[in-house]
Amino acid sequence: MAAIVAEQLGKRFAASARTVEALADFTLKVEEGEFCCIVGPSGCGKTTFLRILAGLESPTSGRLQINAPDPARPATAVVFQETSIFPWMRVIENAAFGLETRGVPRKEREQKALPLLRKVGLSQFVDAYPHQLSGGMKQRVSIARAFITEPQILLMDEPFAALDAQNRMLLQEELVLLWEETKTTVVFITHSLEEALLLGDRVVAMTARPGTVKQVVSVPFPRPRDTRKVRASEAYGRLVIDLWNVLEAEVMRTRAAEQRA
Amino acid sequence: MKGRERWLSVGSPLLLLLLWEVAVRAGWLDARFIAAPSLILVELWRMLLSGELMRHLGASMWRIVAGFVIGVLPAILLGLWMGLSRPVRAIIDPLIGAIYPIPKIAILPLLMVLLGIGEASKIAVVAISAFFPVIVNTYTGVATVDRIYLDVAQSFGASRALVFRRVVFPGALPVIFAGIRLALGVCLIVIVSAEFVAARDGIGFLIWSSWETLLIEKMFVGLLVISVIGTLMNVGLKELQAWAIPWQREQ
Repeated sequence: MAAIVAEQLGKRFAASARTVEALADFTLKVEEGEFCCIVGPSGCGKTTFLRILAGLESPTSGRLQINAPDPARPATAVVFQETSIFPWMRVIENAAFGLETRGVPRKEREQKALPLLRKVGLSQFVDAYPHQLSGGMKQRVSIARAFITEPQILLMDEPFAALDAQNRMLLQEELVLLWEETKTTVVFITHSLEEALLLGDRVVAMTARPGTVKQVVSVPFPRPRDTRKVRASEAYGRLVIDLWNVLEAEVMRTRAAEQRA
Repeated sequence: MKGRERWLSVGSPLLLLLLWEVAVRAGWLDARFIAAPSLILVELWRMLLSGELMRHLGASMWRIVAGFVIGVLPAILLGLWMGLSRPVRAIIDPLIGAIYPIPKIAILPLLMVLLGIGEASKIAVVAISAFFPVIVNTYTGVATVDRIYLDVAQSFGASRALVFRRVVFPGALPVIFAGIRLALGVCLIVIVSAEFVAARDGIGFLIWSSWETLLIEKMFVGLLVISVIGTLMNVGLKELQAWAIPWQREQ
């Protein structure tokens, strides 16, 4: 059964004096256990789609079906783009927040959070406050916070966009390892074609606003995936260029629209 | 460098005191109006021994502390409510807008008409002075909690109570504290002014009555004490803030 079925989703925002159409006729099926990446020019509505999946926005038209058969686990959890861990909570409280919302007692929360924090390399910083952490470490906490609830669908909104190139590579490798342990369904938004092809099973290319699906690319690299080998391969480079050929026109259209505005 | 800066910060007021003392003794300053620091200290000691100082200090402290607590607690509660509920905010906001700009000492006569000339009117004027900066900062703090934190809580399906306790309140706390410290400064001004005109004891009364009878040393003791109160309360609030907001301590 597909984890996510979006049929002709549309979303309009009422901005001052005019309405902005963020999504139009957006149709996509994401299979259970699939790592699905979505790329597109900025402002194309990819984040809007993710926020709809997370229940933070509702679509203005179309139909969305989210299949989360396990009542013991939350349907979704989100890793946001910007720093979203709570400054007033220690690392362990942040990581365990999802369990707190589900009424899990403190002892149990911490027992679950500790091994996860170890896995993302933060065992030395369990009691630290976020302002003591680097950007990469903050995003690791954010990832741990999403994974801890064992969501049936993990939603990631450009989680590595704010990181420097080396940290980004590290976190991509860590994410692949972490994900291959759980095989949860993932929807991963990014503007980086390289990142999408490195991580995903499929890559969805979106059009300029109003965003709709332009093309879906299946990524041929096997699982478990050795990201370094993929990066070094010729096929990877070719896929990146193929994807860029698909997207370039959309990026140009976005740019033209921005210049008119 | 750091050690030298500290030495300079301690040294500069001491030097000023020394200059002051010399200037008064040499007759460059009129000793009838400007008391020498040594004489002020002697007077301070005398008033401590006689219990006179404690009487005034106790009276002022009682008014400040009682008024502060009576003003700050409802301000926080009402401010939180305003921050969480748009209708409540719509009702209360214009009232605050109308009353906030009035210098609070200006309503002391009204309060004395309503509450009498005893302690109640003085405590009330302190309470009202503390109320406004705190309520304004509280609802501003709640309203300006970063959207992303609310999104996170909502995406995890957090209950309203949990969102309030773990996200909204701690998120607003630094701004609330800024309001409390602002309120403290206002309260000191107001209580001294109130005691100038409408009290038989308190530090403000001490300063004013000493001036009227030209007991200049006593007047300076009053000034010294009020500055010590302000400094100590500010330090105390800073400590309280560091304890209540540990995530800001090392920023």
